[in-house]
Amino acid sequence: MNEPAFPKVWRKESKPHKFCPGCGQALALKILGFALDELEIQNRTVYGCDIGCSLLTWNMFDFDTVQTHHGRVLPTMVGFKIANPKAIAIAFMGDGGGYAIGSQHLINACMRDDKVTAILINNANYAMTGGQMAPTTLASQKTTTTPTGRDFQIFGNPLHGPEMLANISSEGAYIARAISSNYQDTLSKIKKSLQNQIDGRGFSFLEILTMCPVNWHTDAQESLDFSEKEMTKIFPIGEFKCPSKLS
Amino acid sequence: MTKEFLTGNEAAIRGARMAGAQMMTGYPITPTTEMIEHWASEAAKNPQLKFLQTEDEMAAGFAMIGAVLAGLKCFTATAGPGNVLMQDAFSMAENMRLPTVAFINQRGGPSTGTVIYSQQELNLTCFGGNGEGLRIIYSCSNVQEMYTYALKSFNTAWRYRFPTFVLSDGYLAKTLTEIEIFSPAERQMEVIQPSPYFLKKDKPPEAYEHLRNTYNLETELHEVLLSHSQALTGAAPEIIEYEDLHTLDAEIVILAHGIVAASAKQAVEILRNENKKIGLFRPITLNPFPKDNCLATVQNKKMILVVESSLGQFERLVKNYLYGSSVPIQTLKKPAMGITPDEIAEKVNTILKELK
Amino acid sequence: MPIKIILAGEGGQGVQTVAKVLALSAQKTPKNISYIPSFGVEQRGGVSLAFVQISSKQIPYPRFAKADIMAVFCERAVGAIKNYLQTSTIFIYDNSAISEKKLAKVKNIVKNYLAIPAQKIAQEKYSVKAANMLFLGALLSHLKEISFEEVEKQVLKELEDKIAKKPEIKEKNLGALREGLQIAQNFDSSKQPFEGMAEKDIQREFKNDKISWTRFPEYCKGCGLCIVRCPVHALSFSDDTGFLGTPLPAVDLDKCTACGNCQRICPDGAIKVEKQ
Repeated sequence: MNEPAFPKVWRKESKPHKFCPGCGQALALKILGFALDELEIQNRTVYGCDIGCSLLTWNMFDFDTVQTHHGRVLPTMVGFKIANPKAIAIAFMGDGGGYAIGSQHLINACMRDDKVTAILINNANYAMTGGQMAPTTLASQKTTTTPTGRDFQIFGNPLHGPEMLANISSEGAYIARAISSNYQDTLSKIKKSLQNQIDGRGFSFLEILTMCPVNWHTDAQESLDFSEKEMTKIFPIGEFKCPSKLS
Repeated sequence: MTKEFLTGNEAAIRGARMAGAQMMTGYPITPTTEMIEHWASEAAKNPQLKFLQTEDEMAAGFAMIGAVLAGLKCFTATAGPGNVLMQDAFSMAENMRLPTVAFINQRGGPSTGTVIYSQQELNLTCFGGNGEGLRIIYSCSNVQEMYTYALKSFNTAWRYRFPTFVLSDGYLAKTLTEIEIFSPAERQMEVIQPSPYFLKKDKPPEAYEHLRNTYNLETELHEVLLSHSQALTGAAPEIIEYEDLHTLDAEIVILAHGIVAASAKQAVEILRNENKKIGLFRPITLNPFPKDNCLATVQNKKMILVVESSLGQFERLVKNYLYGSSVPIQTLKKPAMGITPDEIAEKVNTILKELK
Repeated sequence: MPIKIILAGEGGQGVQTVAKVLALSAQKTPKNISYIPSFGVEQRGGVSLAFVQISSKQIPYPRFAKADIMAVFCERAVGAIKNYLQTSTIFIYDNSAISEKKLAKVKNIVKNYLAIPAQKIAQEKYSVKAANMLFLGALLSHLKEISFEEVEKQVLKELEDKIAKKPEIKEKNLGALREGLQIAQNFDSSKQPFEGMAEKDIQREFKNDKISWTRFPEYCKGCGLCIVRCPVHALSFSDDTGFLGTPLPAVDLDKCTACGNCQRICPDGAIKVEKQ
């Protein structure tokens, strides 16, 4: 039997997964799986997901997972990590869970330098609920709550999460941004954000730009173009904080 | 057993420690702040104890859940507006039957209200969040009970796996008095050990936990709720506690909970000294409610008097369980204010006159 | 009196569009209408149901236990609607998308059926996305009080923004609508058996002595990322379909260099490329 090239930690019984055709978040989750395979930490890993599209990951992986409330996955994983410091705790969320309803938790976890890994999917909209504005919606972007484009006067400019967090982070923090259509770079950054926790060095945060063809109303090429060309102009790919031992 | 002079807040923390609590999360809020401070100072001296002051009560609730999933006896404490925010976390614990423990000191509400006292968080603590009230609540009537039920709450939570609450108020939290500090062994209480939900040591190799609180189909959630409800109803006989004072020959039975019941107890003593036939029924567990005992107690009485420091939260709860009883009910309600034994006695005397 | 209609399909197949057009058109007849969608959390990839009622009386409650007419767009919807069937239900189904095996689950209940190969016709003549219009046309053959012109009007209104971007889809959708009605009007159950699709053998592995390229129809959602990411244009959509009824990619091994871009970019892990 010709087996698919899934990550070992992908739970076969829950495939095909429920993400939309062409979803960049699903791509990021595949890369996360391969990163965990390479680091061989399956049996130390605990994973929490937020609401929104990330809740579809509740049975995505073969490791212990808890689906939490909107914006609350980070404090849940922080509490877990304090109780069990040997575990590798991953908090997985979207742009709403991280930058809106859960923003105070993100800021405080960074301030406290909690030794967890937060991975945030940025597709510039609230996808699961049908495509409303997110903190990272671009100025030009039409969403269902910004039907004529995001108006700066009312809604301000898109939020730069990693840049903001880098400013308040401690020495041992790892803070970066990747784009899931760049497989190698995303794999490398995910591994670093996990290695930083394995080394017990500090708070790790990775924002991943992802395509959302359904709510962007784009086809495959247009989705890649919007994320790789337009989004990266506003949200540059890079590492904003990287301890020297991780480079 | 030792006797010690403690405030309610201190007593609760001592009870938690005696139960083997290992971690506390919280955010400062009057009149509960001292609980957090006591624990923080203990944790600073004892590396076995963990403490996290969070950025808000939502984080406190969810961090507690995370620690519970890791298998620690973790608890939190709050009041008023903090209780409101924590309902987010309590809802999740309720859906997933997680053994969380929370100490609630009621203060005036709604909104910022007062920092002082009330019995206005019954609705919130028993039925808060978007759930069905599948929770266990102990209501303390004195400082001793803040110790006793703080201790007991961990056993209750970890044995029956429902979010468990110790409900008290600002008066008791700050009252300084002598209580008995006993160990579980002295009262033949076993101590339930916690166990982790995740990264279990002896789990079979391919077995992983996938915990969720959301379902795709109505039928799925429906069945989960029925199952939870049956479990709580089934365990109720073991959990229910109440107190029954001089009710056998009483003509009027006072129904009260928490500190107001303590005040009512004194009123009953005053009235009995005047040869008046008055009794008190006090539910200790507001949920599961001692319904059968309550109904049996009030049967054939001339009058029930419900007394509370709220506009009717306890009255509503009680009437729900007393439906079908033909005993008339009167109320003495003072939202956000304490009620003295004399006030209760005066009300009872008025009723006695009416009944003649 | 109320006519109770259920539509069921994959999220993304346009079930709700059809339901909405039906509801708005029927209202003009005039009738009382109730329409409620029902779906799970997923934006796409979950079964999407619509409950529509048309009545001359007020309709107090939007849901119901058994349907008078049912339109079933895809394989996965069959399980979701089974309990709403009764022997009198008119069962309109896509016999180019629903397998014989799946249909067997409802054969003992259904007495009145209308088979319409919507996906096949849409793919061949109109556009895969217009399959829902074929169903809408078919439904209208059983809802004679609704004006066809009104329906066309409502369809154009619903698709206004999309037509503005791509004008050619106007005729695709209207054409599919008309053909659906025609098929339904000409349908003779005595001549067409109650049958689903036979199991098709879909080629999974494409191999030569240098490269093995495998696609997994049970995972592929037809997003097309692999096709646009292939640096040598070795991939294109084939006539075979995956589990959602979307087209599967196929490889031209003469062009393929086994660079692995397609495998890497696939969000579903539905492609595997190996150098031999």
